Amino acid sequence: MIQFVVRRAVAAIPVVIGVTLFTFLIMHSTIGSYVPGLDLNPNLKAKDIEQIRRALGLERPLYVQYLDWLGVAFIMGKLGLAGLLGGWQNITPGLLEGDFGHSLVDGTSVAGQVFDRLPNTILLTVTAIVIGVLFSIPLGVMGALRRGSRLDNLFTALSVGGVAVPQFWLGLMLILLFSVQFQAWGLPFLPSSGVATPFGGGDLLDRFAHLLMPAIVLSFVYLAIWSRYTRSSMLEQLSQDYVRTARAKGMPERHVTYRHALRNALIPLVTLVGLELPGLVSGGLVVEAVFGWPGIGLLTYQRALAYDFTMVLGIVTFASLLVVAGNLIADLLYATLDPRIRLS
Amino acid sequence: MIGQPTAEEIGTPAAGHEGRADRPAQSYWSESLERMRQNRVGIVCGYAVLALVVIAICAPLLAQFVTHVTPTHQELDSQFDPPNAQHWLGADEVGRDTLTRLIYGSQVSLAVGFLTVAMQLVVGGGVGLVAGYFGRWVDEVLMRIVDVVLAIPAIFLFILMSILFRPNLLTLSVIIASVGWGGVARLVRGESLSIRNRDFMLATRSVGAGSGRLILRHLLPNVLPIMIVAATLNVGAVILAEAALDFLGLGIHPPTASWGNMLSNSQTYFTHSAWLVVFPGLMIFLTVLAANLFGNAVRDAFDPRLKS
Repeated sequence: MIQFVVRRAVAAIPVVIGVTLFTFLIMHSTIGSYVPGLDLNPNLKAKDIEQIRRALGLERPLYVQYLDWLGVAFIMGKLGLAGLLGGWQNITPGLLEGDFGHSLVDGTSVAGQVFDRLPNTILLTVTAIVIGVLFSIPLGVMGALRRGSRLDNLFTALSVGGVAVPQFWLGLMLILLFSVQFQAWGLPFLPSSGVATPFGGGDLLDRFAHLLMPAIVLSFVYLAIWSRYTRSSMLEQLSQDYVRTARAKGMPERHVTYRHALRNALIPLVTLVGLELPGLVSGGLVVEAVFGWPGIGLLTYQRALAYDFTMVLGIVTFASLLVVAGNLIADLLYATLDPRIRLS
Repeated sequence: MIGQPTAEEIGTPAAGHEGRADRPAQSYWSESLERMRQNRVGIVCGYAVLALVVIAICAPLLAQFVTHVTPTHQELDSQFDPPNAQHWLGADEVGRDTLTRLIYGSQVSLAVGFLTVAMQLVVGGGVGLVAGYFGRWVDEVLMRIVDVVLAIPAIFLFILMSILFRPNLLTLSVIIASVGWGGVARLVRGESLSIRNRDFMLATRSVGAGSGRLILRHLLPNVLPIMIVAATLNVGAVILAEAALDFLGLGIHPPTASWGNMLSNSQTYFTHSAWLVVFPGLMIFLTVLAANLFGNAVRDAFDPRLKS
């Protein structure tokens, strides 16, 4: 097991390097001269520009800037290995020091903004995933047990539709019905945006009402995909020999279905749910934008519209690293659940 | 049959022929096409997509002879007209005809959909073939690059690229394809790896065929089916991604009509003019639905991995 963990962790290192290198190069090619148009300002003498660039460390070779930005240069300095940098200075705080850069627009730190909004995003996606799991398993099992029935066909049609429906449109339609029309009809209505009512709100019920619609919209795709998988995986298990054996020795059908077949059928579902782990942060961007849900997605979107390159790049780096971490966790999860994986 | 096929369902057509030993030998393609023809839902959806393509191509004709207005023609006395005889699907805040704009919008969705998938196939297929054929360090390097591409959350990458390059049809396709090729590459590589060691590859090499010939003439035809399956299944997802970007204001910009930017534009008015939101979304939904169902049918008929 330990060997498996180590092997997986080592395999993730090139990906981390690749992702950071990618964002670094984009950053360098877009805002490499730090202030666009610096060279065009007639009030700055060539000497001043040179001085600014030196203060920002932009005259150093690219690899030193990269190491500096990563925070590796900082750690090398701590370990007394600064000599390896060829005499170049470590100037800016780097990723490993927890600094993902600062906004080009208002100077706030990326890490600070991200951590402010992370709880909202996690709340939204986790709720959606829980809804997805809670509903997709019964739907899938029912479909498998009554295969070919009208109910099964209805579920099939719903899940095919669930994958094809644009989230932003579904969101707007729900707002139209539950917020706008319900209000017009004088019924209790759901709030259309935000996490809580700005003034006087914020109690549990209020927060739940705000969470309901975005979480349902987000869970729709999960529901559609997972219920199909549960169904086909359940069908596969029910046709296995061990199920026949269990029936042959007179085990009650409920026992066969739920204690034997369902347990085995859920293993692929764990894999699928695990696949959503990396998307925990980015998965809900469109939904966050529609419902004004102040999470990381909305932050990215708003900053992108303001052309806040450094902020967007910082978030992308952060989110990508989370994806790598999420993949790693998902891998370990399967290995714990399914011994075949770690032994092969 | 819709959705996940089971081995049982796939096996049915072949079982029908079982008793006939004199059945003429069929090529893989004609056999698959025959299986495809039996899938009514898939065929209908295929024709629906085809019809939409024809509509998109004939957009100027339709605008001139059916709706009688151009997509940017403004009529200030028909602002927010609900659906009526003159504007079948209503008009927007400056009196532009919704139907005409929807017809033109289909050009954007379909063009980006097909262009993107074509690029994904060329790049992903190429990388997958090379990685699978050569194996060892080539495979290792290329697959790590794919890992990196797939590690960056797609929607963030789209947004990043969209603010770097203000997108038009072509660049938007490149942006979306820049993520999707990774999945295709993984798929093709896996299949190539298993085909590479078959006897016929060795035999061809032993009579002096070079790597280029082996890849293009012998490996490619064998992975082509799964590439086609992946491509048709991707079209719907790409159309959705494109519409989402347009909706967010990071894709095709107005005044060019696209379903996504029509939606985001009408978001402001949808409390009193719901049809402005309903129709573009419905178009996206139906198009993606048709594309997906057609894709499923193609997979059921053509995917060699399902025949077991």
